[in-house]
Amino acid sequence: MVDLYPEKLISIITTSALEERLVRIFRERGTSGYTIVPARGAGSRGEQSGLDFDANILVKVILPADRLDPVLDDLKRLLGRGHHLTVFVSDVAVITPEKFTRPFDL
Amino acid sequence: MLSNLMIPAVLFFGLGVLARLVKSDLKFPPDLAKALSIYLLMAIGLHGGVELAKADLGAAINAIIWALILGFAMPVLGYWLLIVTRRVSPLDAAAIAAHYGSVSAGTFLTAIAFLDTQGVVYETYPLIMLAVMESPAIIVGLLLAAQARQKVKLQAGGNGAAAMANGNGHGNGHGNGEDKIRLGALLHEAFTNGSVVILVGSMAIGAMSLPGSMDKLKPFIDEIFMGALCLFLFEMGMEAARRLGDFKRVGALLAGYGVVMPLIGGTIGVLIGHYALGFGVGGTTLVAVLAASASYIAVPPAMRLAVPEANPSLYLTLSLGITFPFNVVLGIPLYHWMASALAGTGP
Repeated sequence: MVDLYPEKLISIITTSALEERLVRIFRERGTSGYTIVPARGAGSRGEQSGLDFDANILVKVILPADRLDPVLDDLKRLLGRGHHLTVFVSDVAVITPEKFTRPFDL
Repeated sequence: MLSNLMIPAVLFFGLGVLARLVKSDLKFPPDLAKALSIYLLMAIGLHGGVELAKADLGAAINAIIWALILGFAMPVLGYWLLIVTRRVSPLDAAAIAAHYGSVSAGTFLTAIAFLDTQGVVYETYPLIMLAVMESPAIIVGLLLAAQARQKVKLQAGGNGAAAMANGNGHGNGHGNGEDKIRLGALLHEAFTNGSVVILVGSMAIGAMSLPGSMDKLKPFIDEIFMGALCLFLFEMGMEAARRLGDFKRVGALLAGYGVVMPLIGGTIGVLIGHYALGFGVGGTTLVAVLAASASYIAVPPAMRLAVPEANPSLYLTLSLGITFPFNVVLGIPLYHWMASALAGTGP
């Protein structure tokens, strides 16, 4: 039986225009990395066509529970400024916990 | 007038619209429109640069000054018109106005295709104006939005929530320091915007290159240009038709704005092109197209960042779904006709 360790997963769906802003938050808050994939869909602001100048992204970050709040605070600040983000946090399990404590370089 | 529409670029635009209307499964590879717009800007920049090397510096500076005037004045005019109609929140109005102050390279290139087909010669200066006019409207839009936020803040006690139609109403909490940082970043973005870099850079390369060395590039910048433009407009036709469905969301009055605004801009542009800049029919038509067109590539992401409270489906529907098709199909021949009438040569 492989050992599993609990971590938190933040998922964010938002416009690609915010990508740099989000990456800066992840770096400043010492997350170990992030993954971004292009996303399409529809919601309260109408359909997102996925055309390159009107694109959505899906952002995933895995981090230890004790580092969660600073990132969520920053995301709430973006929301407070009127930006549109769909944010949800889930519990995940990983097999290499040390991987998620080392801040990434960029 | 109808015969003016029978050029391949415009017909392909129509095919794109049709493909979408009959719900064809036709899909372009992702990023094709972006790749094509890079090529188109590069080709037109190189082409223009060669011509500009022979151009008169005084006339070029004059064109830049008028481009700046247009770039700063059009969004203010557009904002005021929107506020008068009272159909959108001030922040939406600021974001929409920024789109109308900026320019659409796609429309400009279609106008060039149109003039080429008609055998109309045109000055190269409007090309510099195209590059200059990308950015000022973004700055004006930002300032208008800042002003609108103040207004919203003042009404916050009463019906502030209604004024911020789509925002979730927390927009008041941020400090001034942060605003300043964002202004700096946005100015940087406005002037280092991808299309500005490609266009200005290609013009410089075209102007600096030895004449003989440019001959080798001729197939690239001349011969395949119209084909690439057809492909680009094909995809944009599909994209515009997709937006047409949002018509209901926008409402008749606002949709009317998408037609009236280019008519006002086109008229102002014709007057400036003819009287202030002394261009011929071709150049005047191009200035009109610059003043009439609305951005749908450079400004939307900038507004998403700078005015997140504004509703993107409003400004994208207006610029891409209404004004762009209007200009491509009716606007360009109309501005050409106006320019001809003014020049007294008849259409």
